Amino acid sequence: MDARTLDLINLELDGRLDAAGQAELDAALADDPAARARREQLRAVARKLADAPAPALPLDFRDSVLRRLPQRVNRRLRAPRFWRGGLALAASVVAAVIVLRVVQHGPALSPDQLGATLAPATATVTPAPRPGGLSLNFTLPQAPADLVIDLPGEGPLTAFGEQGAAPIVEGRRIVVVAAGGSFAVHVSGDIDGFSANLVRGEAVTPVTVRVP
Amino acid sequence: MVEEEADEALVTRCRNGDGGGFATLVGRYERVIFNLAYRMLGDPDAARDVAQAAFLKALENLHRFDSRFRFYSWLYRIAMNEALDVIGHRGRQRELTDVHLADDDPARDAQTADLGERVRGALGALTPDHRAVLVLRHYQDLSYEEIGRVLELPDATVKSRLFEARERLRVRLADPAGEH
Repeated sequence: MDARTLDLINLELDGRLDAAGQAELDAALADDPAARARREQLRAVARKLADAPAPALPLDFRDSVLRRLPQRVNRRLRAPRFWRGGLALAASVVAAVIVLRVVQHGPALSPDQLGATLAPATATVTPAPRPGGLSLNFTLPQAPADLVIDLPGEGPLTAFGEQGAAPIVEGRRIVVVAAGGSFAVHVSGDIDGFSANLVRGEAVTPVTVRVP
Repeated sequence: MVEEEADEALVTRCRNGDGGGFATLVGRYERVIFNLAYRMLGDPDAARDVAQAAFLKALENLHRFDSRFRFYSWLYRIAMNEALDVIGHRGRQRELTDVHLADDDPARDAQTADLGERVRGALGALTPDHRAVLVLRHYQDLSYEEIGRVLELPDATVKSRLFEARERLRVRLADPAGEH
């Protein structure tokens, strides 16, 4: 049996043989018992693969995937190193609340005054009020990270993203798995302030709030 | 095709923050992704972990998905890469165990192992590259072109690798009794 015949047998097995190829194979098989035997062996391989049982999917598979979505981010946030950056986080919370009030109720502090209170960072967010909530326009460095937005207060929140953002809402926390770039997260609910942090591994970096 | 449009719609929902869209995608593809991982790894526990990791990675990288292509091809690629990573970390030790099961004791293989075990052992004895094309062709029913997209290989390479893998599997699965 030559290599061409073996190729034709494989192509036939994969349903890729056209009429001319099939005629060529049939002619080759008619004159070659070894080729006929090989075709049967390869068909048997395909049957065995198809018939080999696989274990059943775990019943809770989907739930276990969905449960891991927020947990993975929360676990990082609960890491001890996170609390070493607690002061920076607290500062960003306070700043965000102040900035939000400026946005919603008019400037009480100048942008310079606000900027002086914020931790330096390359990641920025520009908040803007929207009916029933808040729009957060982010510009993040080009690097994979989890963007964690915390909104103090009570009551349910809903969120949707733009420009590729897919926010996941968990109580008063919103998580966006981000790769960097610019995108918007629109939040609805009872909102009185927010903080935003980038979480990469165990490193937490506050996102700088910019006044529009 | 209706299903592909539905996938696109679900991806759009995910991108808009609708967690239900992602849950539906997981439900739609959980069996095939788990099966792909199992056929690559031969271990249900590792397959579950790889399948979970694949879905999570897909969600994380959804903004990179190019909607001109089929979602499932992209998902298969993620799952296959996850499985190949596990195989790479696992090293050759496990593979050699499977080779022993498949090759060195054919009598035991024929008498005590069922077809699933024989196929698992024979697949485990192949190189990961050969196993990947076989799994995508025979268990996921992908065309040469689709396999090429998943594995990022030219079609000609897919074809030659598949034929070679099939030939090796034929030898490993040869029935001592001569049955087909």
